[in-house]
Amino acid sequence: MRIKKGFELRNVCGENIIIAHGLENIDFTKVITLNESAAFLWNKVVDKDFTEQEMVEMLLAEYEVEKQTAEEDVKALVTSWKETGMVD
Amino acid sequence: MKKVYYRVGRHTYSVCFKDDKNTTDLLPSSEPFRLDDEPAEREPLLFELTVDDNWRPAQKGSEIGQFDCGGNNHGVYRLDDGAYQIQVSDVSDRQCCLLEAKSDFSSAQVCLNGDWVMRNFGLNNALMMMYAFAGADKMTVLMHASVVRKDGRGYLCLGVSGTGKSTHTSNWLKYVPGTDLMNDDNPVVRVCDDGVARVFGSPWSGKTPCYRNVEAPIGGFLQLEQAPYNNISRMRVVDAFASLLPSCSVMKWDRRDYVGTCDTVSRLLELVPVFFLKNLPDEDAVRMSYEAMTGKAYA
Repeated sequence: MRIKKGFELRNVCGENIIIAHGLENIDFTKVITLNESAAFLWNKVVDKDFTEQEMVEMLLAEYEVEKQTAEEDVKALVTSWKETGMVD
Repeated sequence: MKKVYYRVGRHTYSVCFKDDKNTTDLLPSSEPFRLDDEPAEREPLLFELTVDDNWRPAQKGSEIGQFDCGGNNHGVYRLDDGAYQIQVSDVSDRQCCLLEAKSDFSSAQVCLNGDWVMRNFGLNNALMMMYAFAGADKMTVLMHASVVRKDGRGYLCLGVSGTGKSTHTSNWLKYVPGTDLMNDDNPVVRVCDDGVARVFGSPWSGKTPCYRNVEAPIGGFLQLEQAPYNNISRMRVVDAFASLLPSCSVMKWDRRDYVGTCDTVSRLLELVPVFFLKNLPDEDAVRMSYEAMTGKAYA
């Protein structure tokens, strides 16, 4: 999967906020925030193809977290990214 | 041929009337902002606009979309080099103005059509777009807001049309002595080079004629919503961002414009508090917003 064109992570007063530009995103009116670890993953996978497995490995390399927890968190994150239409 | 200079929001821009048919008479609301002489300082112009009824575009761009801007239509087209063509129609769908601007809106040509009312409408719309889109990467935005000034600070009321922005500011004028209206629809908001967020009157003010060459540091933003009671709260960053961004004139499909506007809003949020006021159109709502934004007791 891949983060769709036009979605950008920006820092707004210390908050990680996703903005969407481009004609394909003209009807995207949500403002989405990411916590620190989600923003970490976003920056790692933006502009490339990636899998959930790769994201789990990135989390494990960066944070002290159980593998099962990391897998569950990545699954939940990817589900929400897909639901909001930021990933295909 | 006549070239005139205007200064709005501490940015200077020029309008060159190339044919004899069009003059500064088309822009009465810009008169308070007109400079008497060519600007001496070596500050670059925000943009240069040439008005020439004899000009026609060399080619037609591909369509980006048709956008409803409060009852009138803007047809937006783009050329291969990134230049924009924008057709401005009035509420009766008559074509008033064709604008062709460089991709960064640093310069543009327009031709106008129709009677004085149509030309006035078309040229003012062209100037608004030039101002908003050229200023996007210069910490400058045009905001949909009604603005009052009290004790040297500007307070901006935000909200979609019909939420009572003008009603709330007119209640400030009514109940708070020493308050004046800076602009009722489209003020300029800018984080200046000295790091101060300021609001400026502009030649664009919607239905209420209020074209004042005034400025003030911003004391607060107030997002309004009608309710059967009054309640005020400070907005969180994310909510404030979601409130300010749609209040700015912005082209979502243009990365330079959109990211520049996001950066300006982000900087504004670092400098100015944003409040959310659920309100009735009464004095108690004024008391609440006054006390929250000025930090002073309502007398």
